[in-house]
Formats: sequence, C-alpha cells, structure tokens
Amino acid sequence: MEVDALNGIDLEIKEGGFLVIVGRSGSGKTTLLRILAGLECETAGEITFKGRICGPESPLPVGMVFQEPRLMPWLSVENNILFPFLPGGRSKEMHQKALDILKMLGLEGYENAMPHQLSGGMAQRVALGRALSCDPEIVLMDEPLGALDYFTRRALQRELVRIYLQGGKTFLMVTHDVGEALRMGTRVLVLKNGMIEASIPIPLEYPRDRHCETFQTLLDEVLTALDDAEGQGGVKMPR
Amino acid sequence: MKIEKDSLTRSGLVVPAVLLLLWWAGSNAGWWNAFLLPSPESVLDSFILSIGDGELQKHVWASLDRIIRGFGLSAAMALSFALLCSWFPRVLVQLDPTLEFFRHIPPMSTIPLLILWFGIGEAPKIILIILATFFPVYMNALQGIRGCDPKLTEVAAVFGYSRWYRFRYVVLPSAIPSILTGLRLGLGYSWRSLVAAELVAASSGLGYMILDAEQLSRSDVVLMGILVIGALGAFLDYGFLWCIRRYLKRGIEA
Repeated sequence: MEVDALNGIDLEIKEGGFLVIVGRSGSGKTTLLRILAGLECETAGEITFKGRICGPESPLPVGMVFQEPRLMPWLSVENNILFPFLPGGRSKEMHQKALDILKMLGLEGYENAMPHQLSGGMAQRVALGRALSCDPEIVLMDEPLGALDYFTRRALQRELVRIYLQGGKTFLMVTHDVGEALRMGTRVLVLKNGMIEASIPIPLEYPRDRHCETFQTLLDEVLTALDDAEGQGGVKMPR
Repeated sequence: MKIEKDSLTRSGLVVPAVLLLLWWAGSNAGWWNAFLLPSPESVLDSFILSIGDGELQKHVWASLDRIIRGFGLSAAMALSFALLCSWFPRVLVQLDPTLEFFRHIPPMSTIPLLILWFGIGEAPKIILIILATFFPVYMNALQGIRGCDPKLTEVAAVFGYSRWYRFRYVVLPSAIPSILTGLRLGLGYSWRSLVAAELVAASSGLGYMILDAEQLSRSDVVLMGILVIGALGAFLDYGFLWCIRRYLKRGIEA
C-alpha cells in the first residue's frame, strides 16, 4: 500500500530561525524531517539550500537529535559527542571541543561516563551535544523531549532555547506538544494530512510567559489550525 | 572471618567442595565399588605419577596444540563467513541452506570419511574440531551483525558515514558481545569434541590418554583425564573472559 506522507509541501525556512512543526500522528512531520536529514528520499520535488539542490551527493549540513538519545553504548560520553568525527580520527582540539560542549550542556566531568550510567535527560543532552559537535548549520530535532519527564523536559526546553539564542544555527523541531512549540519556536508550522495547514510566526521574546494574552491568542490559532481543540489525536494540550 | 566466608560463598567453590567431600567420604566408607568410582586419593596419586613421568604434560600439550589450531582456524573461517554473509546478503541467501544442512550433521559421524580422505594424521582431528566449533561462532557472529539496531546505523547515516564506516564504527562494535559469546561457546565445544578427535588413531592427547586408560581398565586415569579436561576448559574460559573484561569497558554478560 502506498501512502502520500507529504503532499505539496512548499516551505521556505529562514536562516537563523527556530521552526517548530506540529501536527497529529501521521501528519507527515517526522517524514519531512527525515527527508531533510537524508534518511528518506522524496519521490517528487527538491530541497535547495543556499541556491544549490540537495541530494545524496550533497546533503544538507544537518545535525540531528532523535526522540531517543541513540547513543552508542560502547562509546564514552566524550566519544559519543565526537561520533561525527570518529572515522577521521581524533585530535587534541577535538578533546577540547568535546569538553566545551559538555560544559555548555552542564555535563562537566561526565566525559568518561558510559551511556548506561546516564539518566534519560543527560543522555538526551549528550545526543544534542553530538548533533552540535559537527557545527551544523541546521539542527533537526524529532520530538527530542518526548520521552522525558515533565521537569527534565522543561529544563531542556530552556536549555535548547539558550543554545538557539547563541545564534548561527537554524533549528527545526517536531513536537506533539503545542505549548512546547509556542514556548520555543519563532514560527510554528501546522501539518495536516501531509500538507501545510498553517505557518504561524511567534513574535514573542524569550523567556515566554504562557499566561500573556498574545501567547494565548497564538495558542488558539495553532489549535484551531490543528482542528483539535480537545487535544486529541496525539497533540498535547499545553501545561 | 565473616568476610572470608562471604568470599568463599561468592567464589562458587562451595559446590565443588561439597562434591569432593561426598566423593571422599563415599569412597572411604565403601558406598560404591572402587573400580566404578576410584577414590580421590587414587586419582590424585595417578595425577602426581603422570606429572612425575611427564606423560600428562605431553598429552596436555598435544591436546592444547590441536585445540589452538582447530579452534583458531575455525574461528577465523566462521568470522570471515559471517562478515561476508552480512556484507553481501545475496551470498547469505545462497549459502544459508547448505550451511543449515551441515549444521545438523554430528561431527563424529564424519570420522570414517575424514580418515578415508585425509588419512590418520593430524588433519582429520583438526577438521573434526573445526566442524564442532564453526557453527556456534558463525551463527552468533552473524546474529550479532544482523541484529545491530538500525536506529544506531541511522545516526551514522545522518552524520554522513559511508557504508563501510557504518559497518566499521557501528555494526561491528555493536556485534562484539555476540561475537565473543560465539567464540566462548566455540572454545567450549572444541574441548567437547577433543576426545572424539583423538579417537582417530592418536598416540597422544588427553582424549587418547582416556581411551588408552579405558583399554587398561584404569578408571582412576580416566577420571583424572576427565578432571584435567574440565579444569583446563574452565581455566581457558575464565582466561578468555578476563581478557574480554580487560579490553572492553562495557560488561559482557557471562
């Protein structure tokens, strides 16, 4: 059986923005991200980056964080962070780079720890560090906080925004959580049945107050676009 | 005192100690015929005697030599096959039914043919060990390689790893525990096939020593041979595990 996961997507992503993609389960969010990461091939259409057409030969310069940390269990935290560089061999500068990333993620002193010794939140931070280590222009995140508890989730949301604000990178994140999308994104893209239902800019300063009127108006707008005011179908109501 | 007791319990030496005690008590109380199960003292005597005249060492080295050669060759072949089959799935499709057929043949049943084809030298003995150890190593290695979590290879793909690098840096390391389990099993099987291998007109080796003692009705030497094989096998296995633990940070489930 063939299904069109995405259909007629025409999307221009601004450099340096934080685009959050929301939609019900099966709306094509993950497929869109996987195509951008080069993990799936589009059957029609093309992706262009700074004027050049991307494909298997010239992929997008991305780093990706998945829903699960997907750390290599046989590598230390430091080597997991430096995973993108393993085939090229390591140098002293790389060791320093790993230490800097660990410091930025609040994981100082964990460079020699093994993945099984980390909590879920820490492992996801390492996965984020791995995505950032190759200094990608685009950071793709597929529900990166979906498997975490409420408090770890909130802490990592703040962390991600802080890293985003350091600048220089374009962030693309898929989430089920509309509140999370509004707290973090500069634009929220609503996907429905593989098509873009709405693209809503979020002109709010960080950190965002979810009780403010604009936040609530934007929330209503996103929920209306999702046609899911009850929060059903895999879309979480904001907390 | 308590600490010593604890370490004795943890070392797993309690069961052998109890068995040894029962054996000794039963032999001295005459619970069974000394010919059917000789006493520990007589087994120890034949052990000391055998070491004294250098016989045991000669047999141990002969057996170890066959095991090292047989198991080494077998492991090299099995790992190469597993790598080949996982890199070229089409080769696996072609080879699978044939290997499945050979896997079910008891190595001992091939002895008459091996003697016909290779004579009564070292070759049939080594081949017998290879036949006995190839499949556990091959099957475990293949399973480990094919069982690599595709989510991990996907991570490598995102970071631009080529197929070879994905194999080298993700698939192979993730298969190491399975490969080592296979090697451990194979090493154990090589000892188990040793007596069968040394049935083939051998003039040395622990298997030969046991068979020779059987002909001379020396049940104490038979028992001594069995104990030496068990002890050497366990010793090699522990040595193997020790090496693994030393070089791998990740714990291997024993």
